[in-house]
Amino acid sequence: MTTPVIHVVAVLVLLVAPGALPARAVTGCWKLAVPAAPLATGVLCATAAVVSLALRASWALSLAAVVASASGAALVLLHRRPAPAAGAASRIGWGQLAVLALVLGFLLLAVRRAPIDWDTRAIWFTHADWVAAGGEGAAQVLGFRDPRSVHPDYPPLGPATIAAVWLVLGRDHEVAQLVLALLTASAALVLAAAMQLALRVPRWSMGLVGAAVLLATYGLAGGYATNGYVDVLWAAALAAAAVCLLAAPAGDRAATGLGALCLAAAMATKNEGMVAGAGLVVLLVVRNGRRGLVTAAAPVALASGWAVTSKLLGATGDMLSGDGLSRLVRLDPDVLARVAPTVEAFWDRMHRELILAAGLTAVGLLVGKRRRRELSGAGAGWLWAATVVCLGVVGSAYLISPHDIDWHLATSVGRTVFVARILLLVESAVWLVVLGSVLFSPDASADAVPPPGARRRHVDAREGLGRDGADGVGGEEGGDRVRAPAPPDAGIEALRALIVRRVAGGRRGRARPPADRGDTAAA
Amino acid sequence: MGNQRRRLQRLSAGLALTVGAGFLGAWAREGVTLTQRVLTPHSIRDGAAQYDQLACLERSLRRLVRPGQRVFVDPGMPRQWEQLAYLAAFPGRLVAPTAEEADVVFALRADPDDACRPGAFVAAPPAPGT
Repeated sequence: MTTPVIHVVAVLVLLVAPGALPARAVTGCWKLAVPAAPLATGVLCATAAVVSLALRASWALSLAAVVASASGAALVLLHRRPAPAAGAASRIGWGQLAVLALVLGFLLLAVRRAPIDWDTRAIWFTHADWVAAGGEGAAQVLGFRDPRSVHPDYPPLGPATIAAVWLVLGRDHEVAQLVLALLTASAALVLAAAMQLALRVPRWSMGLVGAAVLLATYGLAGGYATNGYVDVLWAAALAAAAVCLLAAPAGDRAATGLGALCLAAAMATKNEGMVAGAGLVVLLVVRNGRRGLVTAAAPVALASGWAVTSKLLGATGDMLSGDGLSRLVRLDPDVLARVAPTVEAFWDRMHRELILAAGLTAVGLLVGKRRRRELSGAGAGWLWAATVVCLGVVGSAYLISPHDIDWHLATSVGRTVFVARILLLVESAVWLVVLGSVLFSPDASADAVPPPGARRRHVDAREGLGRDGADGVGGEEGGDRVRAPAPPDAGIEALRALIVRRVAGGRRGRARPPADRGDTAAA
Repeated sequence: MGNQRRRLQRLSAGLALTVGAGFLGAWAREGVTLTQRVLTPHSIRDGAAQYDQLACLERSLRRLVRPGQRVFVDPGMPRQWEQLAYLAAFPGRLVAPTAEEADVVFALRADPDDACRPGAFVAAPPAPGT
């Protein structure tokens, strides 16, 4: 890669600066706003692309208007809203983020390989040219039906962010590759941070697990995280959204805001992300009711805005071009014949992650179910549900696709299952942390039955409202508060009773304090 | 009984933790290995060469085909190059469905490895009868 270092710094600044204030307003703290800022910038750029298309307006003007409006709204929000309780975000430290960023820095060195792959140039860089041409030019291209289809219906987050950076640095494919790689890195970093929001464990242990998850995510990505593709970007963003919205305590402001931001990014990046995001919204509503709908409103509005605008301008996708959907509903035998190869391809690509996650979940449910609930403030099945939903929507796409099933699977399944693989990876990592806590925590047994008081506090924590009026799960101190005490060991208790009896005998005839009397009676 | 159960639980947790951490560590190592593989001089040099060829294709098309002209890309060049040339025609240039309907035919007149040599690409009016 020949991009000068000054360009790398410039791209980083251009990605962080516009989204920083909105991200701060949404998440409520800078420690989450900084890593999430590139994603927020991407969401703003996607919004500007929709505005530019809908109004047939100039790209630069639309972008300036959207960024200025969002920054203004964020400033007003930050000024008016009272400072939130530290909440789950207090568990994240700058040092921890710095270590994760260092790991990412090493992985990002892979952008030195030039962007030469097909989707990179034919889809994402081409779409960036369309966005940069402004609403009028892009509208003409979207409606142009050409056999050399390059998926004009794909959502605009990646291309719009590239076009925004090109406004400042000029049109350059290596800069564009860097933009997509840094957006992906932001999503991966946010995913690692989200795990800390979801589990109340010491920073160092979660920092270690987060770094391992980062490395593993780039490992299973097989080069797609840095070559100008967006598959890892939407997958990591959706996984982070699932962790924040389903595995973190319901009602935590930082987790909710970050989850909504990640959901918007995933849904505005690729069609698969849009549909999988819709599935996640259903789970969110099942978990949180009306509050879930409010959380998902902005991401769904952005995705719907793009879908409607692009459809009105004639953009068509290959998936819905045939009658696959109606044949699926009718359970057409030709469609059903596609099930076996699809399942086989899924198994082939993700059996390692599936087996590991299933094994750890089974052991975890046996020995650490309650501990997980104590550490996370949420139930254990939600990430599995998100995985099933994601696999369901991706699998359905293969069933209704008009393409030959073998060709379609061969050319894409390695990338479409990223989201499920990352979710399984996160689920495994969460159980590893929980099992580590069961193994190494000396003052609590795995599934000890807590006394009634502790159980009550635990329920409070799950509901995101502690007794003290704070969020009930903030800080590691909160963890100690809600942890179930160990059951008294029978041998130690008997010895203690014996000593108490001896002492009581030595004091015969003297008055004893009430507590001692109680202890003796219990013994 | 309770102690035994607790010991069994801790043993299970320890075993699962060891196996799980091993897998996670192995995948994390894949991330490191993959990055190292991408960063080999050969991989970077090979990618840079292909990148230069594609950049030359795009630059040549934009230089040789004026905005407003209808272009037909010679199907004789590598298939992906042909498609990328059509995509590079945007914005401003029009795509002609056949050579006859085109103002210019854009073609590669050299080996793809020599795509950056002067004169490697040409854009000429379609020959009669094509």
